[in-house]
Amino acid sequence: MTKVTAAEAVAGSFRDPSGFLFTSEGTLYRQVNERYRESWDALNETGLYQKLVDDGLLVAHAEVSTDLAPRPGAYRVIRPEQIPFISYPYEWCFSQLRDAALATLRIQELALERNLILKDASAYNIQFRDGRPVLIDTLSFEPYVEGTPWVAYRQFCQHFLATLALMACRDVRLGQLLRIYIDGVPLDLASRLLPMRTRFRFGLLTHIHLHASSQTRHADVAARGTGAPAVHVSRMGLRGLIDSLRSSVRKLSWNAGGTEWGNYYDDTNYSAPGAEHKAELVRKLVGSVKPATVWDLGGNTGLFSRLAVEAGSHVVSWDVDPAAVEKNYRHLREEGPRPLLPLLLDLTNPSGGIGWANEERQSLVQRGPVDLVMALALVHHLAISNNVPLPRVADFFASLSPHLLIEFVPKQDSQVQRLLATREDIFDDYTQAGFEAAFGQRYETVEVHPIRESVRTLHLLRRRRE
Amino acid sequence: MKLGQVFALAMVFQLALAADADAYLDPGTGSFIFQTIIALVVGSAFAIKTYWQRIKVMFGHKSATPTEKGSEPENDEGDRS
Repeated sequence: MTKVTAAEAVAGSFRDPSGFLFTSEGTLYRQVNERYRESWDALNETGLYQKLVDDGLLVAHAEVSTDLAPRPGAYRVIRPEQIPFISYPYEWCFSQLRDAALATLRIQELALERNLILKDASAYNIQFRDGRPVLIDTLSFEPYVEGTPWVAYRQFCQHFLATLALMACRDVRLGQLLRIYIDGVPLDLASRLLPMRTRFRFGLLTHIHLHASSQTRHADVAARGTGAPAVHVSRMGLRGLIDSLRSSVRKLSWNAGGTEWGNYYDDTNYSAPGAEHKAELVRKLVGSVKPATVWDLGGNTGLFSRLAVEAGSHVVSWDVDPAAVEKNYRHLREEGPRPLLPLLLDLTNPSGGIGWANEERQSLVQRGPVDLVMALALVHHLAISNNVPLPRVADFFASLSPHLLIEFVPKQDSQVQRLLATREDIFDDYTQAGFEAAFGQRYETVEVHPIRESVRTLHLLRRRRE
Repeated sequence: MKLGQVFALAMVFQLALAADADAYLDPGTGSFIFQTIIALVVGSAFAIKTYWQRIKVMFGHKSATPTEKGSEPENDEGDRS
């Protein structure tokens, strides 16, 4: 019984009675409950499981002994392929959410062809593996009963369509509403926030605006006690629904230009030899650490993240600018599969633990540690634009990884001058010596290199043992 | 029994079947009612589109069905930057 007691249920996996995720001795498993037997068998017997895995739309799994099941009522226990990093829809750029939506519809379509249907359409069930969206919840299917509606239609509209429409037609930053509304943006809210012109687009008019009105109109059904109304949706109706949702999603686009950092690499103070030298140093220093996992904080469009990928690491490339993440992701899509994940993050207010008991969706820190954190051309934004004292920056970075590759950008640098141009310089400790003293509390220096034709230095640091 | 009553009974029966499924999501009443209506509309449009494609294929036009056409997430933005 030791294995059973050692197993620990995954905090975010409790809503669906069909089964749940748990970890045992560091490995992730999923218990499939007896009540899910019919659906499970159908998933396999219809060939849907194989088709989705072959098409890269569902994570593969291995069946293991049900002796591992931590709770009674197990029909199967599986060991799913593990995704290197779990990300959340509020960390995705526009095109990531859009691709996740299209993948969900494609899965629904393939399921329906085999007389199965998606019983949920949560954006959290999609993850990115080597840059492509993949469904991670193997228990999302149930047999399709002719004439019944799609139970997850509302969820799809809330998680995907409404959010995408707000991002495309109002402001891309509205994707952050998903941080507040864990089950997707309420349709009445989306309807109020969307511009009038969206009422002249059939897909948005129907799936968001009219859908929202219908919800409001029938909101008191439970109170009236009249029970659920009779509903009938034909198979052709469902196929039409998928087609209509897909065309609505495909018509939404966002042009990633003209934001804060979109043109950053065209607008730095590096000379060509300086930029080349920095890349060469990053390549060499990352190579010396040989990290399996890297977080590139302030990764912009992923130039240096890609150097770490080349060194054999799985890299999450974080940036605060939606345009930079968008460019990074589109570039990745063109390059083809590689272990890189561009994500959106405001380091001054990183993703927290949210949902039930604050633990359904993990915070940034909970999803670490990683082997190496890269913070290139970042520290001045934290220390000067955001007033975070350098020792605190060091404390935070030290909580994320044992190794840190950090670039110090002194006050003489034109980028820092630019930040100081409009404000009083209250940063007396922001000096090379101040930087080294602050980080010296937490780290020992492995290597320091001045970057050619610049005033900047690149530091490879190793965390001190507590 | 009148035809309408048979139809209504069939509806109730189907609803009962739906309730039997292991649905843990609350689909929302208004959402369900709306889906029946919108599915009728877009389902009919989809049927016409599908048959039209078939007719076109029959007369020698090479064209995918609407289903196949939209199979994969792809780069189709007109305003790439």
